[in-house]
Amino acid sequence: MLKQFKILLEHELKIHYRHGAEWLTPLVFYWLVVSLFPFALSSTQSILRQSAAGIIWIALLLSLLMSLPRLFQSDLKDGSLAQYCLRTSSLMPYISAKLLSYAVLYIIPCLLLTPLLALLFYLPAHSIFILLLTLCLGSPILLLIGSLGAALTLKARESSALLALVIFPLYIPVLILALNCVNLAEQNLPIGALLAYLAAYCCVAIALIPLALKSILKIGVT
Amino acid sequence: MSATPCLHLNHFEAHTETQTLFNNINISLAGGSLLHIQGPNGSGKSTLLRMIAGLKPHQGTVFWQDSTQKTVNIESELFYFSHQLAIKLGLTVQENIRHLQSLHGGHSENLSSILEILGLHSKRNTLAEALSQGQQQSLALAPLLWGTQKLWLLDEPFVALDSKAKRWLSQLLNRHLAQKGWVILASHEKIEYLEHPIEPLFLGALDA
Repeated sequence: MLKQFKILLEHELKIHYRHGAEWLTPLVFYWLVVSLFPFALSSTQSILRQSAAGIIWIALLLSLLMSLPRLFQSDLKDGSLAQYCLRTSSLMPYISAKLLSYAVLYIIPCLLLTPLLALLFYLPAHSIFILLLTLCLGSPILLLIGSLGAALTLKARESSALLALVIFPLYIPVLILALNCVNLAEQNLPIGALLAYLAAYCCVAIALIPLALKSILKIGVT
Repeated sequence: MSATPCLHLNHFEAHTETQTLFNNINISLAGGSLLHIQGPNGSGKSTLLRMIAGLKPHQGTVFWQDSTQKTVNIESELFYFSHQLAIKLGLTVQENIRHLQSLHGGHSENLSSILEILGLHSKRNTLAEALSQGQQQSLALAPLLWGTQKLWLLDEPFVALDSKAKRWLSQLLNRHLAQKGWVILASHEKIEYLEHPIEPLFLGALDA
């Protein structure tokens, strides 16, 4: 199983790498959206500093939403999803490899870019650190919930719009938790509890959503 | 008492909105038989195969009884092939074979002998998207070379193959049938080079 996971992950990354710029699009989108805000808003330090976390979080969320509809689409079209569903034992390695490759390609580059972008908003180092922490804990949740939406809308005709409708309500609690965390930290208030909530949410999502995905994909294929 | 293993398909039916494609299909196949599903386009050949594979909801049942009359679950024992080839166009031939090996299991023959049989030795590092339709199809059929699945469901496996590829596929079918496996095959073409008897099933005779 582990061997299969490794092979699938390697192949997934290779396919994306060979497709060239496709994986770069959400990253460029993220960079553009975040870096345009300081020009559009104002150059007042306090305004920028207050809105920074919200803008960065929403930009990440939207950039993820750009790539999510494609998550299972190509595998559905070329018939490999059906093959994974026929071999139940290979479905879990497939799902894990798929999700991990998406995290590596679409989320981690954005996170790496974030400290630089945060400088545009005059964020102090401490706030940048907390913001990154919430992003690290929160983005896996975004990806997992999004994958659930992608699996549910697998055969829908207007899948992108439907996907957004399905998952947006589920994103709101994550946003509230993460942004409150950053705000409290700015005021030097304790944030341990909120971070713990976020971390717990993340763990539960990682543990349970792949299991749900397994059954949803099976239904989606038939 | 020991009997030959037997595959049972019971109560398969399919309907479109306006007509019945097929109704009440009940078949028992002894190990080593090939069921050749025939019929005009749209008569439900692929539908029946998808149903047997479990890729389409159905009311029928599929199971087999082994030599001790015990009922065996077919899930891990089937290989399904359709025009959706399930090969990765962005990967090379060699990478695709590695992927198929990990997916379909079974003991792995060595890579170069597989490539030799498929006639893809010189293209091992070519991306699958650069292969011809027939070559892609051979690649997708490659798991039959090493797989241990008992039931092969093949939807138009001969269509794009050249005569050499047709011959190795037929040889594989012969070998599989000699080992008392089952083949259910939908095809317009006559199956050549086959040494075993074929049981035909005609679809499309029914009208609502």
